[in-house]
Amino acid sequence: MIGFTAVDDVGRVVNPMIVAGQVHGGLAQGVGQAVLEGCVYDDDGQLLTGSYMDYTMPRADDLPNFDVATQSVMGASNPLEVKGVGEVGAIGSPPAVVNAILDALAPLGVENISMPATPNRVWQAIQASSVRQAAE
Amino acid sequence: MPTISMTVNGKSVSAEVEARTLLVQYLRESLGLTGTHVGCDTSQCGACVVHVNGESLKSCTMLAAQAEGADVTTIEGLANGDELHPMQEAFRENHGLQCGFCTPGMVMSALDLVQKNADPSEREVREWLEGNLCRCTGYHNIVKSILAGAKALRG
Repeated sequence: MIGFTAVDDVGRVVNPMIVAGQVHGGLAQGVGQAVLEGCVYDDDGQLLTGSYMDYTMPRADDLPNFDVATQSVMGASNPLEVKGVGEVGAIGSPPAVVNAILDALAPLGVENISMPATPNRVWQAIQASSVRQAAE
Repeated sequence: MPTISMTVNGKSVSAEVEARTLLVQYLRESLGLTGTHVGCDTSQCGACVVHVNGESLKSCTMLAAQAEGADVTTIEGLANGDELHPMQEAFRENHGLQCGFCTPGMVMSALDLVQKNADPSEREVREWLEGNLCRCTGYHNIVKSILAGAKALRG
């Protein structure tokens, strides 16, 4: 991932550094959900992703520096005019990442992919694509 | 039970411990140095990183007895009284932590990086942190803190 830009409405920004930090964390969680993280159970209900060797959390080198900004409408429901910021990064980031993947795969005829879009799933989607099948 | 002796944060310590005691258990439970955290208990998350003879190491992956005679530094050994170590100060200044659970390991790993590479690039910092997981910062401000800490240490 070479870059990530996020713009959020968080109401009044009280501490910009903390707001940016919360958005960064949410983005990382969203990216993780989109391409890496997933709980896998076997047919007997045994969790197969029970350690960090098997459950893939984003590491520092999986992520870029984030470019974040706020475009705020003041919150009307409280005197501080604030809104929540703790989860905002995690809301838009999974669809943004999956849309980027589908955009890259569009010339191959791939129209849908399930999260997490792991390298294996991307490869399978390419193998199953209509464009590839037509060429063969 | 074997008796072990080592130097921890410049102080000589000695204790009788069960042979199976992990270094991190010894630090936290016998010495009360709870700044070193146990995250995953399986040597993947890096919250337990300390320095043993100057090298960063996951203290949940080493027996206390293996550190016999060693010079151990934990996060508690960095500050000079009330004065934070420049790397700790860089984390404070750059909001390099949120919940703080991974922070002791991040700081200890970062210090091993800068002693090997005094002027790392952003990419080199990110690659160095492959053994340290963080769930809440997205790493952005951790990387920024380490670059700032490295700069401060270069003077």
